[in-house]
Amino acid sequence: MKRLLPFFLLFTFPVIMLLLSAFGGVWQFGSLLPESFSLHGFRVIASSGGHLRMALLVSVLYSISAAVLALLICLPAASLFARCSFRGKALWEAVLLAPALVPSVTFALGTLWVFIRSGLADSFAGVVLVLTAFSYPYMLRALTAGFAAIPYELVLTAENLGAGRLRTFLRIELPLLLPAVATGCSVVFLVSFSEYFLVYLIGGGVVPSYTGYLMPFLTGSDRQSAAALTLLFISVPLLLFFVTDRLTRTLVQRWQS
Amino acid sequence: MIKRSAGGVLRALLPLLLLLGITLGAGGGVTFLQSLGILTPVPAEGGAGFSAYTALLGDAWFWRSFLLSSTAGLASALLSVAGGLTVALLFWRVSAPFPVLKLSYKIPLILPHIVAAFCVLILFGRSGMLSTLSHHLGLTATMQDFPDIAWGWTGVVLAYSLKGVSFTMLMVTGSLSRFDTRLLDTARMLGASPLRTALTVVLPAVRPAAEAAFVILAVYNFGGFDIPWLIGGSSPGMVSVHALNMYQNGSITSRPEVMAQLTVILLYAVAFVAAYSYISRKVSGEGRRI
Repeated sequence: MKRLLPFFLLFTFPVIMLLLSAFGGVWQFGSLLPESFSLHGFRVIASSGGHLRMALLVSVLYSISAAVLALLICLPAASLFARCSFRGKALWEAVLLAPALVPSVTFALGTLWVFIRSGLADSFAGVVLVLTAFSYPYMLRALTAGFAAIPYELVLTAENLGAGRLRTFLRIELPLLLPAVATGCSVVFLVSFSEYFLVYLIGGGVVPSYTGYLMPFLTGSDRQSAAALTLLFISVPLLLFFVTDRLTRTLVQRWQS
Repeated sequence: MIKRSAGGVLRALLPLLLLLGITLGAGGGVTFLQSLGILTPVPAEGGAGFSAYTALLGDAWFWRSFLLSSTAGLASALLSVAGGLTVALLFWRVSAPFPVLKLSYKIPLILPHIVAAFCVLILFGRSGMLSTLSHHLGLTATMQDFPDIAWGWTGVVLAYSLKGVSFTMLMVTGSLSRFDTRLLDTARMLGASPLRTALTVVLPAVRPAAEAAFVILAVYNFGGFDIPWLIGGSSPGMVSVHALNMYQNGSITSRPEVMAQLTVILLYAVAFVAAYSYISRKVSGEGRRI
């Protein structure tokens, strides 16, 4: 326990600093801790009205949409990579996993040009598409590993017993795939929810986002509000991971019994 | 393994390829074409060609940007991997009464890049924690005496490293969990010191994961935008910030140069990964995948 304390402190230190900054009132230079405590930052959040709530809501919505879209388009590809052999497989896999490596800025302006001409710029759908395109590789990786862990004999048995393709997927594969789905969705959600630049560029300010709302606070002088808003920001994925984890466990237990 | 025909493969990959086509494919294509002076908002001077690239290569300002980005990418990747490996090896076999303690290394992973940059400001800024500590220790008298490390190149490297250390740990933890710990007992029985065991027994096992983390971080941190935009400054800015500033504030005739810089970021990423696979194949005799 004692030996792990420095480990714990090392990684929670930024969060501890955020907490101190968010709840600290007067904090003059030279004091290691705030001299007084205040809820100013949280009052700013409480009185911010519709803008903040809208930004938070839309951010959660486009991140969930990106996760669902990534799941749908990665399912057939992941099943293919996990179970089939075909020519050029290694190359396809490398190419399709590459977008996670490439900095998004390299394509973003070109994509904006295409989106302006196709009416997708400044739209919710455009933001979801571009976020999915940059974050699906994590889903593909998780699902491919998930499919590879399912014995194919189970699928064959179900089909021999007369189950259709859809029924086999829903009753046999999906329950076994659930942990991989949860992992993939969590990462895609997190990457999308944290993204500032792509949403700002493709959403053009028309699509509200929490990162866009937060940005001026981070560069401004009111550090207390910035830290409080940041804590709210981090709490969303944390809460979602907790719920997802619980939900996955409950579902897995129910299916197993 | 089931054999699949080309048609079956294409059907399974079609949804992904469609999405990639309208986003990255079309976007990358337009970026490259505009860098050549094709499809630009106003016709390029002197017609289509590689003039934007020759202009960039002769531009001292661009080279300073390029040097700044590449050194920031390499330095942050090096710092992240060195730090992540050290911490991972130090705490790997420490047993935790609460498993959640050992998972705390994932906390910086969920911090968005812009928040990592903000954390650098409150930790390393002139009015931040480190400056306060140095004041208490009598090293600096006023805020202004503390070096301005939170802004510019050092700030960017620190912010990337904050997340990079966690990322490296995530990558090497997988290899460590598969490591046969009986090798450690053997090494100890044969009289190896803990340091020697770490360097000659454990390190080779985690090297592929650590190398992959290094390459991913060096490439990503070269072209990343959020952190340099927030704390990197602009004189000169990193390549991504320089290109975006030119896009937003520059003349519309400068579009080929903007797109040429973005193409350079992509080429850097491709060249870096290719060089790594080539070198690792030469050294170890087999290819490594990222």
